[in-house]
Amino acid sequence: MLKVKLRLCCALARIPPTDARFSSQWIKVSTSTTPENVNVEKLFVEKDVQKLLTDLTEIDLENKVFRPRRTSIQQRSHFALMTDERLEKTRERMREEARRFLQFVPVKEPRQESVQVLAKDAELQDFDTSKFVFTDITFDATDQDRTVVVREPDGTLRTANPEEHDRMNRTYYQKPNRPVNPPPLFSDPYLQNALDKDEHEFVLDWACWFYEPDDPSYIRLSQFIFDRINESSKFNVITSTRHFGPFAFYLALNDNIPRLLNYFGGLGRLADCANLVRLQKTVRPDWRVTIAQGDSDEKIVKDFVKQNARFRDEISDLNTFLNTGKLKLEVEQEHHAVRERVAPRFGFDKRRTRITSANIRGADGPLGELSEMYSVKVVKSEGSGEGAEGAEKKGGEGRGKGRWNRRNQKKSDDDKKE
Amino acid sequence: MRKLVIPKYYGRPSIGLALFGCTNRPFYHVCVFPDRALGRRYESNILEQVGTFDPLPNQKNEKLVALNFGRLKYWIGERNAHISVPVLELLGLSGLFPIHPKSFIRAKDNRQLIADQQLKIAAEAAEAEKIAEEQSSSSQPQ
Repeated sequence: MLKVKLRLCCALARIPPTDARFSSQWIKVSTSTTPENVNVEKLFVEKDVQKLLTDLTEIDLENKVFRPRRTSIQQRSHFALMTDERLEKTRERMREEARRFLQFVPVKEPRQESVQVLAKDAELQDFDTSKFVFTDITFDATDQDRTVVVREPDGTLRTANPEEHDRMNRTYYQKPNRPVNPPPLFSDPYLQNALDKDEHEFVLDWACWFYEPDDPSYIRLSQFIFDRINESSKFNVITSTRHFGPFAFYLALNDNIPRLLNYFGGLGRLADCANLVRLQKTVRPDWRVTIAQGDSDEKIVKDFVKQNARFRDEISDLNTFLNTGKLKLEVEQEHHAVRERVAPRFGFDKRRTRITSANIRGADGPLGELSEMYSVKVVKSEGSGEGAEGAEKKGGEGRGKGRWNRRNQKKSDDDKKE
Repeated sequence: MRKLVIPKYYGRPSIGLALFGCTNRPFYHVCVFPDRALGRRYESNILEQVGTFDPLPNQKNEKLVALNFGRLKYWIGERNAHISVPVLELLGLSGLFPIHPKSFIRAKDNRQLIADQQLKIAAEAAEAEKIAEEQSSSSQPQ
């Protein structure tokens, strides 16, 4: 009993006083004008904020949550013949499971970097050339409340800072894929490479496993990645993952939502746009621009666009959707079609280039300008119909049989030479 | 004739460092050994391992010590274990015990050593300067 009480006292002592915290690490001072003393942790777990974030995180079962991914578990895809009813039930079950997978990473304030000096022994100066780190490996100490103290070479005894504390946890309590020192992926040249390859989710997942959510370096890393996603407008790498909630929350907190709004608008998801605006107004309440009780989604978004005319350039897709009802994809296709009509190349759509008996020898064919230097022979291969007619086939088709075909072709060429 | 006892429950155990490394790589376990009265024969019957000590500093110049304070308190408080001096020093540095006199002596010796070295370096530097001055003064009049 006494032990439990003591542990409780320790836990209470560890919680930093909320009043002393003026500004949050999650608010970038340069970009925002929010009131200073906002408790971000509390705000994130509020019920309406969580509801909005959950609604914003669409559940994409096939392409995101249950897509093939690199794991150590070997699994085969499973096929089953089902009735409609059972199919619907299975889908619902998978959606339930996906909801569990998509549980948000908590948004926490970083732990305090300052250390507490426990004792100073000037007599002990230079007792050794290196620091001594003492870790308590008592069975019932958890990773959070473990005592780690450091004896400096100058004789000071102090508590460990968050970095040392977590490193000791990682040293003495190993877990798979959690090395003692942070992997190079989290520092710059490699991080940049990974982000260029759209591996944002992988990096964030690993960081979430490697660090504690209230580790200062985790918060720095995740904010860096969030900023990169927002700058490059690559929102599809993070939608429908467990990091989307914190991401949207971070953007809303920093008054930085227009690009995400534009992304949703380009996809024609008006309800999500409205939810995002609602989220921002919940997170940064402003009495001048509030949402009335009965406002429709469209009115909310239109009001936001009107109030924030300074973002006009960044939300062009959303504006197009609001005014004409056209999605980004449709608009792009139209543009493409117009360009084709203005400057038709070779008289047909270039994307659907076909290799026919007419163009296979010419400069329009697969060889292009090289066709002047080489003479093209058309060889009948197995399975494809008659010579000249059979040569007419789509560019992408028969890619699987390429090697076989090539070998055949070579052989027949040799035959001809002989 | 040897007594038939269970070493774990007999007499006064002792806590000490047991060398567990390999060639050129010392690594110690902080272990609880059975009563000395049982003889050398029972020294290898380690009752419990209560920690580790890595005497080689790591990349960040730290020597890592892990101690199971809960079990240490049991062995020291309830079983009145005898503690060897190296372990006493570690416990003193960790803040559980008062600092062991030997740590102070070592610190003093080290400080003395450093001071001597600095004196030596200073003397050498002064000598080198003197020689340089002499050379320059002897070369100028010519």
